[in-house]
Amino acid sequence: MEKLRSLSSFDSRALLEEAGICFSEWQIVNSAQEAILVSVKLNAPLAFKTASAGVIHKTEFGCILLDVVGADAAADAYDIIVKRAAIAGSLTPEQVLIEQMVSGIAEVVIGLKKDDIFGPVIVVGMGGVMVELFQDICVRLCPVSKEEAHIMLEELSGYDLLNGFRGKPRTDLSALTDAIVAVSQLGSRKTEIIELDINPIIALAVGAIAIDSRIIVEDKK
Amino acid sequence: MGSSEMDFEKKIQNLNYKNPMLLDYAFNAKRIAIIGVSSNRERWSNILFRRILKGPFRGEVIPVNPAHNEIEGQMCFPSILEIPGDIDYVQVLVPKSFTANAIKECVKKNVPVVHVLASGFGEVASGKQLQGELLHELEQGRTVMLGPNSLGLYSPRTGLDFSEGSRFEPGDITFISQSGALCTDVLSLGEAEGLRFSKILSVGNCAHLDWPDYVRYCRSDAETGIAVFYIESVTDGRALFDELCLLASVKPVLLLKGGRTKAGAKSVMSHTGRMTGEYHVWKGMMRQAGVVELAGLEDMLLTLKAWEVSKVRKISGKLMVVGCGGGVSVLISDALETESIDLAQLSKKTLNALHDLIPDADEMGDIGNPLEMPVDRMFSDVTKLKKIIKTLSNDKGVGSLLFHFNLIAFANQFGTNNLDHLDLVCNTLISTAKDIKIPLLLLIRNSNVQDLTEVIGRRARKKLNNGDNITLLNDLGSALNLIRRFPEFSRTHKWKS
Repeated sequence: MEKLRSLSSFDSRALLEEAGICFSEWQIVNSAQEAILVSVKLNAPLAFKTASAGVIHKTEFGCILLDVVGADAAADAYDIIVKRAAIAGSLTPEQVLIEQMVSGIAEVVIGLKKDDIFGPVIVVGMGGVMVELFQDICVRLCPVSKEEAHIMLEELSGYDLLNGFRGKPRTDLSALTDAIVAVSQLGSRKTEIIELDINPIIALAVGAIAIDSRIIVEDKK
Repeated sequence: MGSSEMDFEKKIQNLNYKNPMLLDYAFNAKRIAIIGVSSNRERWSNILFRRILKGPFRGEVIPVNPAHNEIEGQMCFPSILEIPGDIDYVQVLVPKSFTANAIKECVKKNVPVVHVLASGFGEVASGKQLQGELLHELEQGRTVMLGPNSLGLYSPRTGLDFSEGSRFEPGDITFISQSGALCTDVLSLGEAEGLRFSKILSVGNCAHLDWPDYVRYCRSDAETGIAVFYIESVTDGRALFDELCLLASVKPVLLLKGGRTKAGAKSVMSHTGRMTGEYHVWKGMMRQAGVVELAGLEDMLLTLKAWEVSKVRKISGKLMVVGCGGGVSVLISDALETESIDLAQLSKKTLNALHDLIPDADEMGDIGNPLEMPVDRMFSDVTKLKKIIKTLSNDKGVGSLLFHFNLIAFANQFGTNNLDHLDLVCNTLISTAKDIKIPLLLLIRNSNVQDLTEVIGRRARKKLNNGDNITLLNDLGSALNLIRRFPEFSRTHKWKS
């Protein structure tokens, strides 16, 4: 009997960080007071999200708040997220993840999927509306080399956005391809992963920073 | 048999070893048996038997049927085990319920390859058990099975086929297909287009020999210059991928994937899961393996045609377009631009030579690429026509030449039944094509307009079709799709380096 389960924010981040993916500065808090302390420590603006594994569709239940600045706003944001997570059915609504917001040049999605025929595959796409609206994605079987990862980026219609479109700075393609390689190796290594999303990973002039992630695993009994 | 050989025999049997190279026995068969040949001339098994008997197959074909001593004048055996000597290839035409026993006897006789025509096995729920029985019998020996639900094979070198009217002219294209109907289509349409096959194989259910085995066979087979696959489903995707990578590193590989259904994903909780359909994965797999993805049957035939072109003349450099009719040239240029196919830039030397050849060029507009000429000037003086084509082909920047020949204009200028002049033009094109070092693509436009070009059209096609280094094309779309595939077979490609 196989059972699918979503990893908690903490666990999925820990797994990806271990694999070599960089996240923005983040911390999980369990009270409004803690939220205030963390909001002082991290650089504003901040993003507040439920850290509960039970809430899959965070956006639809309003469990993400962006551009939070200042201690009062942090306390309010914490309370709102807890209430909404409880409505969304979370068993641990008090766990809230606070993270520094990052603005970069472009957003990219990196994902894994276990294909019935080919096993783990890596998926790369342009983030934001591009990925859903235009299906601008590229797939390979895991694992991929850095060279293949680069070809994947080049195959995207949105590649120009990464490569310095109309005077915009060029993104750190090497950091992006490193992330693709790392995720693809994770896919080969951890066969219990059924699906994985890093959505988005922000492409910067130097580096690439993951913002949100989700991992679905299969528990084998 | 020595003891070490016996050990090896035992080992490969224990490992359930299936060796795809045994297919060579079928493709080069000298002695074949057909189990289940009817004496009734209206039955398919009898028709098939007679076709092989009367056809170009040079070997021996033996019917097996316990109810007869003789069929079509040939001695008939009650069982394959009764036939003295080795058999290279067996076709099993009995109904599905008798198939397992036929396989059992083939294994016992150590037949290298057995082909099962009947359907109703693994492809339907009720036949899965029967298919399991076939596999159980095959595990007892070395025999490999093609099918079930397979149409068999086409091997021009031995004269075996599954279709009437094959030309049996061997080439180096190997086509392996999960659809039998597509095998006959590709054979008939392909041969009509000038393609020459090494072998064509209908694999059916792939119950025993499976896709990774067939791909491996193509890698080892020296007679396969290019491999083309039509795949609907595969059980071990990773093994297929690994074999495709190996094959594509030594030979060009084309793949048409049939059945683009949405994946039955286990979970669609993530973006990745929702977005990534089955065909995305196939597409990515093909690119990763270095396989050329085909869009359909027409694309397959045109890509293979590009391959045939690349064997006659080296493919490199850019395209030169020449013909009569300004509008058409403009439309061709537009279409080339849309497809990102670059036109060659003519050298000063070529431009000067063209000005000498066409002294009144300025009245017709600039000389360049595309080069357009009124029909009378183009075809009145065939010596000049030859010189123009040769001049263009000698330009180092020109890699291939697309000549568009408008038969409506020709008929209006020289008459709908002026066969003498048509022959003169065709012969000139044929002799010129032979002389030049770059591929000549001939786009014959409007060749079948009633009462106007149908007579000259048929004649022109027939004459030009046999020309060395002439690739005939019917329409602009096909021409563009062919040219689009040229880089796959260019001089600089990995297989040719």
